Amino acid sequence: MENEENYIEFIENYLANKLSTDEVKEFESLRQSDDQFNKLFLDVKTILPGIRYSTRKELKGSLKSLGFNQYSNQDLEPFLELADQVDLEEKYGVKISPKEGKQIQLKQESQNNRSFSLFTYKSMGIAASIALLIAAYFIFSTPNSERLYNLAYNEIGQGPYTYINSDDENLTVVRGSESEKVEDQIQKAYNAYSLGQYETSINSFRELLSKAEDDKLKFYLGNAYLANNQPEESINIFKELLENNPGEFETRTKWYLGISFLKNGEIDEAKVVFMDLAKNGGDSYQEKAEKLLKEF
Amino acid sequence: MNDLSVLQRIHTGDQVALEEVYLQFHNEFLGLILRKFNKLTREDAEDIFSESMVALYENITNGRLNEENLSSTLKTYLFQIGINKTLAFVKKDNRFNDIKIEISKSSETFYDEENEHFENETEQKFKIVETCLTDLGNPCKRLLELHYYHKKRMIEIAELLNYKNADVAKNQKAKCMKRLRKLFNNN
Repeated sequence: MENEENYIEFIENYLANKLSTDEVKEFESLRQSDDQFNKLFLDVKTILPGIRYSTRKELKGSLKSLGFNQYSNQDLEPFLELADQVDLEEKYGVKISPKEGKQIQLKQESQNNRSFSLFTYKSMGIAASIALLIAAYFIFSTPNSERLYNLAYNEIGQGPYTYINSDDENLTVVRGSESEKVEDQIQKAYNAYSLGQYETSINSFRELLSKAEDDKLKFYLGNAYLANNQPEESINIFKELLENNPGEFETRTKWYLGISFLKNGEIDEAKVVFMDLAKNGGDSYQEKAEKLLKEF
Repeated sequence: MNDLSVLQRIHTGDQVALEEVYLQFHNEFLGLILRKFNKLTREDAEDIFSESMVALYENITNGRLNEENLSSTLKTYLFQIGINKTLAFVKKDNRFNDIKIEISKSSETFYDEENEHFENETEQKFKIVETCLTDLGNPCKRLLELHYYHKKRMIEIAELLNYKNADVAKNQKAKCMKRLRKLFNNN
């Protein structure tokens, strides 16, 4: 095609909207009349943006590899932290929020991120202190009273207070046919206690105690509660009993009150009771208390 | 390095100035978008930033951005392009279906529409041109790139490619176009 270069310039100007109205008319009519020109137009129309497409792609590629080669991921890390100070909404008018229903998931994600950055960004000291505090909590708090409870109740005391028949000589002497019934009831209550049927024994003891005060029954009721994992109840019963000056039951009541406090996690109260026992017990419970206090 | 002198250097085709700007803001921008859109990969972020830089470059070479109308810092301008590009990226990527993006500030479109997406058929044709350019080789390839993409005048091209004068460069350009068109039609 003759004058191709001039025609190309004509086409370029047409595509760039640089032609006057008259020139555009001339251009359109040339396209209609000259097939070769029309073909040239269609080629150039693709080739020019094609050259830009190709060159742009090359430039982009060279810049991209420049960034990749120049900076490692580690180089980027401080800038991730810096980004926390940038408010996208304030600076760019862009607000990002989690979509409805996905909120929980996102929250968890951001928490994970936070703990990740805690670890990454030199707060190992804080993390270590937290770990120590958690460990301290487990060693010195609840588990300690649990440990002391086990030591006192199961090792030193060998489990629930064992029902001893010879104690019965202290029973209130009741006479008559009705007394036989009561004796049966009492025996049944102790039997249930001995068999580990604590709930049954608790009900029986309570029923008997509603008719008449009895230190021994009360002492066993307290122990039934303790053995039945109801330390709050056993504490109340043992306290009541101690207010009545239970005589020979006093030291063992104190001992089991102390254990009830341990079971209930009230380690300080327990300590007061055991210290009193260690000082004023005067029997085997004094020794037990002394032994136990060494473990506090 | 002063923004206006950088602008001038890039405008005159100083590739080193472009790379300096690129490296200067690379980490801060990548850090920003990687943090704010935490599902983006480094690869995604490099793509977005390099595209943003190309858009900045094109706005400078086509005269849309010049020393008179740069109202903010070059960095702010670049970051605004970058955020727009990031939003466009995130919008068409279903990894980001779980976030809602609201744009309250009507932000100017800083980049050329031509940089956006083409019809598949059009892109296929562009790829043919790309192949033809490679086959054409230098200096023709370089000449056409300088003229049609980098918007260099014939006198500048003559200087860069060691032609006697602008007319020689213009003749060369016509020859190169003819060869390229032939290659294009044979493909």
